[in-house]
Amino acid sequence: MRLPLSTRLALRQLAFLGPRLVGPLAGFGVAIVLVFTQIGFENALYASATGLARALAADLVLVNRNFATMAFPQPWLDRAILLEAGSVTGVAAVAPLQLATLQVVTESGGMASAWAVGIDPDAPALDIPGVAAATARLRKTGTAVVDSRSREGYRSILATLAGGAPAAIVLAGPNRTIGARVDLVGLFTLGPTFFIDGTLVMSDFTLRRVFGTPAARISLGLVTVTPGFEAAAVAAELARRLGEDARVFTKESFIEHETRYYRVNTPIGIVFRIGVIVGLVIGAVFVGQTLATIIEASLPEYAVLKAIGHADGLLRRTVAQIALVITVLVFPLTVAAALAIYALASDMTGLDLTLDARSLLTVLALTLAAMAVAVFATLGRLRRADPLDLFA
Amino acid sequence: MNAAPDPAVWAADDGGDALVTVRDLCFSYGRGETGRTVLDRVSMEVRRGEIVLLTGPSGSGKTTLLTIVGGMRRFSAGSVVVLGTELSGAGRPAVDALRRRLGFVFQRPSLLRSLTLAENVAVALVPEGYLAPAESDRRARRALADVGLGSRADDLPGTLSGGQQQRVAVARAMVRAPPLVLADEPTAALDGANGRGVVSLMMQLARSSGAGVLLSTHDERIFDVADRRLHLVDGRLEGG
Repeated sequence: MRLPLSTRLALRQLAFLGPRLVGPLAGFGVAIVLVFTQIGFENALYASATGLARALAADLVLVNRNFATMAFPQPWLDRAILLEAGSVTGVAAVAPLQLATLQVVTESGGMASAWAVGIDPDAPALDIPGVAAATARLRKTGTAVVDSRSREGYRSILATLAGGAPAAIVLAGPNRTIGARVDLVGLFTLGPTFFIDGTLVMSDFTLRRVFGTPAARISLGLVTVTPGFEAAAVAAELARRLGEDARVFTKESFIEHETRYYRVNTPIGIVFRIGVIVGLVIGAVFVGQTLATIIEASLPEYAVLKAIGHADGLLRRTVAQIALVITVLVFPLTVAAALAIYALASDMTGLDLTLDARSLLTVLALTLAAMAVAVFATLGRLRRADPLDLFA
Repeated sequence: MNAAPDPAVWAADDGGDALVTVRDLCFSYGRGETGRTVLDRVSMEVRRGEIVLLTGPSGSGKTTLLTIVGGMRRFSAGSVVVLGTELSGAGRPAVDALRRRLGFVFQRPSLLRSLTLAENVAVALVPEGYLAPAESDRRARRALADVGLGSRADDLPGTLSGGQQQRVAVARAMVRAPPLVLADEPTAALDGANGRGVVSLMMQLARSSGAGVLLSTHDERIFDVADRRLHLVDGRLEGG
């Protein structure tokens, strides 16, 4: 099958002018890689921030009415609420979860941030294999398991544990006054967040001892719904029963709430989105420059096509297809470059930068939108292709 | 316009064969005291199979007349009928349709550099929209063979000399067997031998297909190829 004239012309002109287009096309590619990077880091932010939430072994989550996010110190929940929640029809089990942020003293004497998670060894609260396997060891006061993907400050401790030798870590509060020593008895896999270098899981008793937290206070209440009951219906009943004492989330809505906190309540999401917009604008400028270069170089040829009776639509279709071909040629290269950057950044930060189908399609759609803007902005130049210019 | 035709203008005896009929055509750049009249009550005809040269000094209005006949310029007064289409007040679709029936040869070949010679010639067939690609290609190659470039059909224009490129432009103009060919100074960018060769070729193809030709030139070396010569001076036809 022979391609339409506009398509052949688009392909031939790109090939013919190729060497002159390398610069602007490279600029376009870099701009799209910038968009990929921004979206990748934004997704990594949300994924890392919700990693612990996604690992909760619960169908419903209870929090204080004024709860904002897991990431920072939460307003406490009264442990007695768990007793009342457990009496609601459809609730199979309840479990407490304690959360605290702190710093640990590294072997070099430096500090690294940490998330301390306190669980009741008799009530599974985390769906993390390494934690479940270490539950019996965590019953011993003053023990903890540590995330094997924790960042640089934890590396020597992780290496020691991986070698089978005993290791310990010193916990420090904001004023480095606590100085509690915790024996590390195992590893699990979770991953750091943007703000927290590593995570320690210990019994709630150990955590209370370290921080001096009253036993009546918990951070989150975790609810397992009886099989056959709708989580949403049980959540509604819990909300009715607990009233102002607690706020009830399904696990999915809790994860969404955590994501929303970063997207809406912090400037972080906005910063990334501005980065995306800047990337798209730069991309559109480079593509516009490419198209303008092609059009300017082809004005006499376009004038001939007009003179011999081709309608303006042929030229518009040609320019649009040039833009489309540029996308088809450049986009896969930007994907490859983005994957390389993701791998490098993941290695350096411990964050999960992954390119899922949704992100890929999002960037593709944004790229095509930038293309459309560039095409629209440059089509006016076609009016300068005037058959009269062909005459002496 | 009711003004009498310029007595110096050649008039066809049989208007039924007229490909181009121009009556009392006036064209000016600007208006009022700053305006400049380029064509002043020009009347002329080109008949089927006739080769007509438009001659005259630079600025006499040759190219302007040609562009008006080609539907590329609007005019202020008079009547221009080309292949049965009255151009006064004609819309873009009608003008585009007319152009698709004409053959054009410009001062420079103006070939599409990224397309092969065969494709360059075939672009003149595409607007008609009814030819199968294979038939379009076949006709383009035959037109190239007619101008002596059949063996170069798959080459790019950049590999050809100026004279050869102008022959490709002639093939592009003739491939759709137009009833009328408009040529604007087709020898201006060529040396004497090449210029003469290109024009002779064009005339030969026009005569064999029965096409009329309206060719503007100031190249005296090709005056002898025409059936008639119309001489423009200061926008008025002086003789035939």
